[in-house]
Amino acid sequence: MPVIDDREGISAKIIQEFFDFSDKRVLEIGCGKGRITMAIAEHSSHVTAIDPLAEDIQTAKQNTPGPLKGKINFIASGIEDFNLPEGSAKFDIALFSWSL
Amino acid sequence: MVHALRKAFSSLNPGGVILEVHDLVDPPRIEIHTNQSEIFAGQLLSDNNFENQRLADQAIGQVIEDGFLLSDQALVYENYLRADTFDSLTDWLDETWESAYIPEGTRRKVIDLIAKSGDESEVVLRMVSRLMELKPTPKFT
Repeated sequence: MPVIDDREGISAKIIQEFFDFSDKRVLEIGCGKGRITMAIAEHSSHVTAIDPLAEDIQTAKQNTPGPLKGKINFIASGIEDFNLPEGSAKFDIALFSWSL
Repeated sequence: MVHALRKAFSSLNPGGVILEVHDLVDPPRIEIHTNQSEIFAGQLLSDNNFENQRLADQAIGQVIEDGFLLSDQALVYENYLRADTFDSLTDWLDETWESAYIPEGTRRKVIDLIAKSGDESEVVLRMVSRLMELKPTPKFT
């Protein structure tokens, strides 16, 4: 283990203890490689996860387990450029994970 | 950042909330951990004095002061990053945190502590983060 960054794992656990994501539609801003995204997707209705780094979005897509693929929409975008896809419902939670 | 908060809010259903997490301005602690001990070696500093964290705090303060959002609840907790060697930590910092630096005295102390602790030691960066729930004030709901 050269470096183990526990921050997202610890934070994912804390965030879920702090807030009930059951059946919620979530917008995650600054999702990076999607570690928090995947944790909250297990309990939420749907997660739209955005990050301006296309490379991280690509990695996140590749790392998404099959059962979660239908619950997460990864988009390469910052919040300033993000527009809700036409016909999409709004969100119940917007989560800034180290991205403000 | 204020604009980002407002943009996020515009994407929410009525009754929706914003959750925000970032590290506190406090400098992270550098520690050497072994099976038997946790030794404080010094602090990680930033040549921009943790400007990003400071600006995030200011933005949240601004939307609250403007009466746009209110802080419903907040939680402060500890986060960790663990490296097997000092070089691993400095490589990670070079790649992901350009403004961070380890003062020379702390650097020497970390290297000395690792040498004394042997192969079982790890270098731990201990940070403090805050998770906050923000809700729109009644006039914006």
